[in-house]
Amino acid sequence: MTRGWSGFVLLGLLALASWQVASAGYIWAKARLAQYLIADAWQQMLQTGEPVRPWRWADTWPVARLEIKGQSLYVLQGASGRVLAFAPGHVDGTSEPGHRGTIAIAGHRDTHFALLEQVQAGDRVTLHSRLGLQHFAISEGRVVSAGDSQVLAPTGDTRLLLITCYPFDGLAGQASERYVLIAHLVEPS
Amino acid sequence: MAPLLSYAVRPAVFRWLHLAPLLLCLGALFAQAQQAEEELLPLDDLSHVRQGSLALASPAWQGLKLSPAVATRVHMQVTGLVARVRVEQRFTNPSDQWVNGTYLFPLPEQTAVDSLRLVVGERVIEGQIQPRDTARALYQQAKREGKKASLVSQQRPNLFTNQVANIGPGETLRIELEYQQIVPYQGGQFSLRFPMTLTPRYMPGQPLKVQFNSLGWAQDRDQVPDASLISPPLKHPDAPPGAVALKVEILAGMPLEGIVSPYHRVQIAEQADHHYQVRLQETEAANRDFVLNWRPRADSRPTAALFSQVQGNEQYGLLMLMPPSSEQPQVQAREVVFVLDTSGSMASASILQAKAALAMGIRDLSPLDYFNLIEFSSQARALWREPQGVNADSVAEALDFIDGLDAEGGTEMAAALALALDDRRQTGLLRQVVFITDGAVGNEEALMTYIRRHLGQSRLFTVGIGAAPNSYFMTEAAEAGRGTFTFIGDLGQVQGSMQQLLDKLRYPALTEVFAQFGGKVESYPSVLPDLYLGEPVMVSFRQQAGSGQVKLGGVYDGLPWAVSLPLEPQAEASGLDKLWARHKIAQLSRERRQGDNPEYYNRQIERVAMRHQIVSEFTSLVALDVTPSRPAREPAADRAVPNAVPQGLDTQRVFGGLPVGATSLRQHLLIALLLLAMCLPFWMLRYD
Repeated sequence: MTRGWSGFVLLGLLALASWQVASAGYIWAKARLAQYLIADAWQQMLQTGEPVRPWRWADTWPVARLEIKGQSLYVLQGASGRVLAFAPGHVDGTSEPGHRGTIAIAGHRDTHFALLEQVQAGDRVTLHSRLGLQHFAISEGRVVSAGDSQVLAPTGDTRLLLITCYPFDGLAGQASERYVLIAHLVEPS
Repeated sequence: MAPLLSYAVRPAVFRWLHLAPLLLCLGALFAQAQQAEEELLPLDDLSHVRQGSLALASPAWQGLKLSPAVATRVHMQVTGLVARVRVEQRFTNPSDQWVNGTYLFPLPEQTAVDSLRLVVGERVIEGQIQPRDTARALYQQAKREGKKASLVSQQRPNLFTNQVANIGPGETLRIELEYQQIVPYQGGQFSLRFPMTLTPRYMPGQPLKVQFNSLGWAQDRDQVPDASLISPPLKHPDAPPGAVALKVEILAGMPLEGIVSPYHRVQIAEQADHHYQVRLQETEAANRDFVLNWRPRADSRPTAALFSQVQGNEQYGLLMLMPPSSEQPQVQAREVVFVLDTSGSMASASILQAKAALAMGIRDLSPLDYFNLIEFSSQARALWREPQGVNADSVAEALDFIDGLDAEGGTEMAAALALALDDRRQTGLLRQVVFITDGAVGNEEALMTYIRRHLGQSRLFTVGIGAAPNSYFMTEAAEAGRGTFTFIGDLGQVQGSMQQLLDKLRYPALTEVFAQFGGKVESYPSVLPDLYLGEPVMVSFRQQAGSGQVKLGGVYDGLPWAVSLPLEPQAEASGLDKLWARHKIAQLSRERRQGDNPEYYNRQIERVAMRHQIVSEFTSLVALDVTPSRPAREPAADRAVPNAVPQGLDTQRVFGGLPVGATSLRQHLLIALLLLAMCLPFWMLRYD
């Protein structure tokens, strides 16, 4: 008798577990696969000089390519949840890649920007944009609260901010702190 | 003809109030305000802030204690139709650094701010009206030189900033400003309103490049280029709102009844004959607008009043006249479009009031009427493509629609206005648009221009909802829309306020209203609005000293109506010149919206404001100390003073923060693992 219903429970639990695994896989796949589509759009944009949407219904377009820790990441315009699911995003209202001022790029701690945890002071970051290359060196990392948009303020110099959620091993899709890496413009090495 | 009634008016004497010391509020603020430039607090501490515990409690809270607190004391003296108001703001700097404070505060619309005093210890420094740029330069210079200074500027006609430079460690500065306003009189009732805080406004448009200056929460945008200036930080929702002590003296000159403050607990006392005093309990929080209503006793209700003030060879006046009302007015058939704001700032309490008001409006329709419903947040949508007749089915469908609405998203009001004012489908009926909103938008000018250009035959009635609606916008929008503005502060008020509005809508208005003066007279508003049930004609005028005649008239229910009055001053009043100037400026701003040459109007506004010494878009009040007080080597930090969160506002729905840098990927995996772990016992049960 017990064996009968325990079978159902077992089946139910397994189904739930696979649903959760599938959800996680979907998030991961979206983040990985989108980069290939964006790469094509990026190439087209470089040729035409016009913004190109990576897929037909996208409300964003690639604005930069980021090289960090030997990896290459395409950056989309905007930093809403819809955008960040596919790629790191350029934060609206901050300077555009290639320009002077504070350029802010946000990404998810558990997909694209997981690598920020390993970044050390002095590490080099290259930002490719329509206007050419900018080289940065990481100078510091900070933890700020989620509401603290003050870090985005222009400071007079040219700097790159890489923003992700903190702590890195957090579980939830929400966090109350942000990890901000600050990089300063340097000569190409 | 109605007799002119004179108010017994005493010279305006201000008595100083010595109320018990005010509670200073030093609540925890939004992070952006706390950490203007010093280094960040350790993590453990930040998590305390989120839980809403008060920053003050622990000595470890150095960083947060730095924000200058502000406490407010208000004294209003009402003489007949005019109120003279003194607002005292006390800035305290509890830190051990020199700081500069910025405080954004609302005032009622159409107030003439004319006096500023900066009180440092025993010394009183009088402010001066200066052209805006000059004032700013003087203030900046004093700030650099380490002198105490205060600068009061108008950001919107109902929104002002007060900047205070060089407040020393542990020091308290007192700033007093004074203004004049008309007390609205409607349906036999006077109503005085004092705004206590701000509802954060929706800033439409694209962000302007790198304009993340300073102290507001919003970035400047193409449609609201000064967004960062009109968006002060709000206090942490759990922090206590700043205390406001308020005293109103009414020199009525006639017996009053029904003095009521619908939203605050007050003490009311009759001091002498027809002299009343109202005090706001000091513990009352500054998180909703203060309203005080009173009525003259029925047998002494004024039907006309004239106040005047002679200055040199000029006479300034304020004229009020109740038009006659017929015994049994005809009910008119109408097409009514109800528009409901369902944006994020309307969430929780406001949306309930709005829904109640809307349902009442719909139930009140007569079977002859046609109606439609529009709701808007980030987008606008109408319930039906065409207005429907009033029957059991359409009313039920509309009420269902209202029931299902929820408040979330932006406030793209232009789209809703476009939909509501679209009168291409002629019904031949009188077209009335009832617009229910908190008016929390930053692009007021553009919207009012839109209303003026596209009004057509419609009439726009605005209904202000919530604890702190943007009443300047809604009053002017109703003016542009040739309708009226109704304010509803809480659920209990919906019934009364809406009934008054619905009566206005149902009965014909006095239209084509005119005021004809004999002789050379400049009067405002230059085009008089339609008058609805219970509304008086109000004209502010200036003429050569001496007397004359005025003929007032209009069309009521298809019939012409007119009355002549002698312009013999019956009651002396002060400050009417400033009110007149304020009305003239309001008129110039309206004309500027229609005209192609804004520069011309800007210069005119500055001239009028300079001549009559009031604060305007182009003139500011600046008070400067002569001697420096801050030692040259000690820098002063800039601080924004947070406003209280309006009661019932859901801050999460209004603000974002830094982008969210996480997905629920790991959460899913963890849950999967847990589920698998739970499988184990069942697995063993099966196979043991």
